[in-house]
Amino acid sequence: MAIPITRYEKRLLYYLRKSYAAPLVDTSLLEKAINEARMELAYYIMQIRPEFLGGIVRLDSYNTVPATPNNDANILAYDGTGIVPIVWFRFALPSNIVEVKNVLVNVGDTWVEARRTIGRYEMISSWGVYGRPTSYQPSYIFRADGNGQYFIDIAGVSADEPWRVEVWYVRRPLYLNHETDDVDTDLPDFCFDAICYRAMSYVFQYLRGPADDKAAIFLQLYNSWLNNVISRFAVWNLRSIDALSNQLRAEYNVGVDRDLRRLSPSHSAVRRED
Amino acid sequence: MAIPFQLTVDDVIRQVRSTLLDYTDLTDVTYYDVADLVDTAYRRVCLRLLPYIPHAFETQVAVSNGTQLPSDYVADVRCVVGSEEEGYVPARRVDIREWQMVMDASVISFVTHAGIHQPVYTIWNGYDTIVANLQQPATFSTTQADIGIALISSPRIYIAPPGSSGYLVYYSIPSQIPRDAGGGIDTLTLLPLVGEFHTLVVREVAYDVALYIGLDRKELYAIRQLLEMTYSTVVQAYSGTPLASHPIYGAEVGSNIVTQHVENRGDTNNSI
Repeated sequence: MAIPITRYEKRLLYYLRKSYAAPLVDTSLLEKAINEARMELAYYIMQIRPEFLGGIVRLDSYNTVPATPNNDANILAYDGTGIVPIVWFRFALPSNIVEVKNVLVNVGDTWVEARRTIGRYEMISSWGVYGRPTSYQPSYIFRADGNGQYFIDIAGVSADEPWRVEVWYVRRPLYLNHETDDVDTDLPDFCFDAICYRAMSYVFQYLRGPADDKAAIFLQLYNSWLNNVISRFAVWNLRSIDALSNQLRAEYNVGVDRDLRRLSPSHSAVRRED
Repeated sequence: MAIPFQLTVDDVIRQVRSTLLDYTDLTDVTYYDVADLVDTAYRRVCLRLLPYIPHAFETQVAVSNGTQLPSDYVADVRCVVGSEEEGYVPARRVDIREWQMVMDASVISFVTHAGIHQPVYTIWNGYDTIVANLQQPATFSTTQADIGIALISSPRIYIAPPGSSGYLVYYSIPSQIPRDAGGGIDTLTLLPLVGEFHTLVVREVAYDVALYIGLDRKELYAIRQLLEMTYSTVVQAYSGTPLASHPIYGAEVGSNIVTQHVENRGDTNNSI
């Protein structure tokens, strides 16, 4: 999990050395191919082993509670006596985020899992007197602003007391730059070969198109790797779910729906939303 | 005294040379280039064999809440939580969405709560970033937008109930072959693979070398076929299929292959 981009490039140059394409290839092309390959493989990895691409951001207001929280007149809720505006706070999230998995809010001594709401309409329409976000049942909205910046709005906490938020998320890998000699800390080591194969197929595709013989050879190697490694991991996950299902059935007389296997790429089948 | 059959990197390189003699004299490739290919190829073999002989790749490490897992971690097998004095209890792996639910005693029943007798664990990366101030939309800056840029070397394990520790058994892929100060591989290093899989390593490296020296497609295909046939044999053997029914090495089909091979040599008539 610490492979410098130069190591990828060295391997690609190995493969290119005797090729007709060698004089046409420069570092920027290799860099582009490597990063595209990493990005593609990451989407497989995050489905079967999301922990490799997980991340946690802790947003802390303990020291800097703003005097005036960010109010939005569009977010309203019924509090039993009338329509009142909801106080909410906005945080910037990492630009490489893919999905928020869990949001935990800490007020006082306890951590509480925040409820996800899809949009502001839902906030207005479905929170009644009892569903209104409070420090015991905070809510959040996760979305982008259209310019590639993701953010999260937290409702239910106030500016009167300090609080913390933890966002557990899945991210995509960061772009590795040859100039700054970046190190790949996103993807696990065992992906090295697959990344090289895919990057090589990209290189030949850039130069001659997908019909190129060499592109086909490396694409085949990449597909073979996916079939032999990624699919086997997926089978493991299915077996784990089956085993858990049997255990639950034996101990508590409840089963896990086998259809869940299609929904759950993770190791555990028991999830709150299910 | 008999010793376990193991190959060094140097042995593999010699066998690769002899495997490829029909195709090339290997003047295009240096000794240390091949050694470098051995380094990745044997780990690729391990990764591919892992689902079939998982017991060969199980490793154990002592963990506590927040422990960063070793870089050779591939997947978890089981986690036991406890102590030598009080004994160990197997922990249940939970999804991160379930993690907080089993920790929070106020909202869940005692049945699923993570206690000392029914511990749980989860594996996730973090913490990577701490943002110490609230962000208003108008004040996004480049630095704040790029807070994902953080060095995360490997996932961490989180164990509940708080304060507990134990052992994690996980599947691992061997790390890189030791290198000297100049980055060269120590070619006298023994590969940590048992003897029956050495053919796989040799043929994987041979294929890599063939790609490296730019053999044409037909020759590459021939070497690849040889490699896949070897994989197929091992996989069939370890996935519970009797070797006798193997399509190549089985009794009936296998004998045909042998016959055909002999006929191709052209000496069948003489022998008869």
